[in-house]
Amino acid sequence: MSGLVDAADPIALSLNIMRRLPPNRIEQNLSGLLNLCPKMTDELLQRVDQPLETSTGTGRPFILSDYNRDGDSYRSPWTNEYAPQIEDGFKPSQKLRALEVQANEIFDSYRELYYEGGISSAYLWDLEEQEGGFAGCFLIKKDVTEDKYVKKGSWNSIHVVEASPPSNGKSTYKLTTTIMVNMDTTGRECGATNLAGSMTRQTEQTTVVNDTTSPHLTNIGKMIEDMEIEMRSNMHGLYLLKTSQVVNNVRTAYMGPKQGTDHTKILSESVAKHGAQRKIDSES
Amino acid sequence: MSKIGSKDAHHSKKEFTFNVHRDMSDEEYEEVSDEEKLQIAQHFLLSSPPGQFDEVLADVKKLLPPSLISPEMLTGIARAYNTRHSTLVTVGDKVMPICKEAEIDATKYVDSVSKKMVKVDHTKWTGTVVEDKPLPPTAFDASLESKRTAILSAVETYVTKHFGGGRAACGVYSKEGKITVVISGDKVNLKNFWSGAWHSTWTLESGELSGVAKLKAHYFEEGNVQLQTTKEFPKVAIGGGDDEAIGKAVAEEIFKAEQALQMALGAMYINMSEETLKSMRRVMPFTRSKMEWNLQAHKMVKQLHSK
Repeated sequence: MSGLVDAADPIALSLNIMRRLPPNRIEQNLSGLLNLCPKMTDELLQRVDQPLETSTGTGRPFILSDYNRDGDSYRSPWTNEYAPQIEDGFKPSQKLRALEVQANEIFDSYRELYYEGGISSAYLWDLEEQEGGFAGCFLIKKDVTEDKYVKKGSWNSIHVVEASPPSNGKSTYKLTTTIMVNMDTTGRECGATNLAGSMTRQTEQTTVVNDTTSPHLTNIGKMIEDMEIEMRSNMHGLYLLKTSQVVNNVRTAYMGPKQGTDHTKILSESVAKHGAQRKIDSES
Repeated sequence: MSKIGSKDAHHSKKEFTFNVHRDMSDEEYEEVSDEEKLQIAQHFLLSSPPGQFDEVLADVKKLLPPSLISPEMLTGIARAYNTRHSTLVTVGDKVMPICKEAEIDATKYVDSVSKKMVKVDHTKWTGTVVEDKPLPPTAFDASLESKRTAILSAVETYVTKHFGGGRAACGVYSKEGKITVVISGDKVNLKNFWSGAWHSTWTLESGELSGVAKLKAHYFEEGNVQLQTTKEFPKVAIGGGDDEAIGKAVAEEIFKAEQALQMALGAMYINMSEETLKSMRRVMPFTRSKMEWNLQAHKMVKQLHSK
C-alpha cells in the first residue's frame, strides 16, 4: 500500500497532513497537530518521529529520546545517570546494561566510520512479555554547519529493534528505521535551497545467535548498517532525484529538436552511477 | 519494499516505554482556544504543497470543531495562498496567475492578456470574465502600454517554450512607471505522489530588471521529500531600443536567469550523493568496506582514527 490513509480517524488524518507539510518543519507541524487534538498526543508522538535532540550538560553528549527519559530527566548511555538527577530513575537490568555499554561503544565506531562526526546513543530495555528478549533503539544525530556543500543541515537516524529470545540458536530481529534529513545547501547559484525528507522502513530477519561469532550486537549492527546503506541510497536515488524530475516537469531547460536529450543523459548517468553504487553496497 | 504507515513494532515498543516511564494519569492536556486552532489550520493550509491545498483542507477540517472555518475565512486564506504562490486560476480554456499586481479587489483581478476583468473564486481556482464591466482606467499605466504588450508577447513565447510540461501562464502589469512580470507554472500528479511549482516575479523600473524565482517540489510515495528554492536575481540593465527590442531583452534576461538557476539545481542534484548528501553521511566508510561488527575489530578502527 502506498496511498494515503483515507479515514476520519484523527491519527490517520494527522499522518496524511504530515506527509504533505514541509519535512523541514516536522516539530512545528507536529506541535500544531497536537494543539488541534490534544487527546491524541500520546499516540501521535509514538507514530511520528521527530528530529533528535541532544543533551546540553557538561558531560559527554548523548541523544534525548523517549527511550531514555524518565519524567523530565534523561539517562546518559555513557554514565547510566539521569540528568537532571532523579531518585529511582528507570534503569536497564545489570545484564542488559552491560550489553548497552558494548552497544554504545560499537555503535559509536559505526557512527564515526560513516558520519565522521555527530553523536550516537543506544538504549536497551527488557521485553517483559518475552523472557530473554530485549529491545533497543540506536540513534544518530549529525548537525552540519558551514560545510563546503551544506550551509546548515541535520541527519537523524532512528533505529528501533526488537530481538526475540533465542530459540534453537536463532533470534528474530525486527527493525524499524526512520531517517530524517534536512539541508540548506551552499552555492549562490541555487539561491536559498532547502532539501528535506523523511522516510521509514521496516525489516525482519531470523539469524543464528551465539556468544562468539554472532552475538546480538553483531546481528543487529549488520542489519542497521544494511538498512542505512539502502535508505541513504533510496533517499538519494528515489527521493531527492525525484524532486529534481518534478522541477524538470514544470520547467523544461532544454529546447529544440533534441529536446531533453542532454538532460536525459545527465539523469541516466546519475541513475547508472546510483545503480553501480547499489551493486557495491549489496555485494558484501 | 516494506510498508510505511503501520509502524507497529515501533509503536508497541514506544508504548511500552511510555507506560513504564511515565505515569499517564498525571498528564493533562490543555485545550487551545478556537482562535489558536484557526491559526494552526491557517498555517497548515498556507504550507500546503503545490496543488494540495484542498487535500490538506479536507484533513484539517476534520480535526477542527465543525464549521470553525467559515467560508469567508477560507476564502481569505486561499487568497493569501494564491497571492503568495502566484497560483494559477482557470478562466475558460486558459489559466492566469493570481498576484497582487493583478488585484482590483479581493475577488476581481486584471487579466493582463485580454485586458478584461476576471472574477476569481479563490477556493475553486477558477475565474469568469466580467464582460459588462470595463477595467478601471488605472488598471495599467497608459504611458507604458506599448512596452508592456511588447514584454508580454516576448515573455509569453518564453513561457510557452520552457513551461510546456504542465500548466503555465504569465501576466505583465504596469503601474506608476513600473512594469511587473509574473510567471507561474505547475504540474500536479497526486496519483503518482508528486507535485511541483515554479513562479517568478520580475520588475522593470528605470531600465533595470530584477526578480525572484521560487520553486517547490514534493514527492511523497512512502515518505515525504521536498525541495524549496528561493533565488533572488539582482538588477541588470536592459538596453535601449524600441519597445519590441526591450520586450525581447527582458524575456532574454529572464530566460538566462531562470535557465542558470535550473542548471545550477541540476548540477547540485547530479553531484548530490558525493557532495551534499555525503556531508551528512558517507555512502561507504573511507576504508571502502563495511563495518566489522565485533568489539575487537572496532577498537582497531578507533585507534586508526585517533592517529
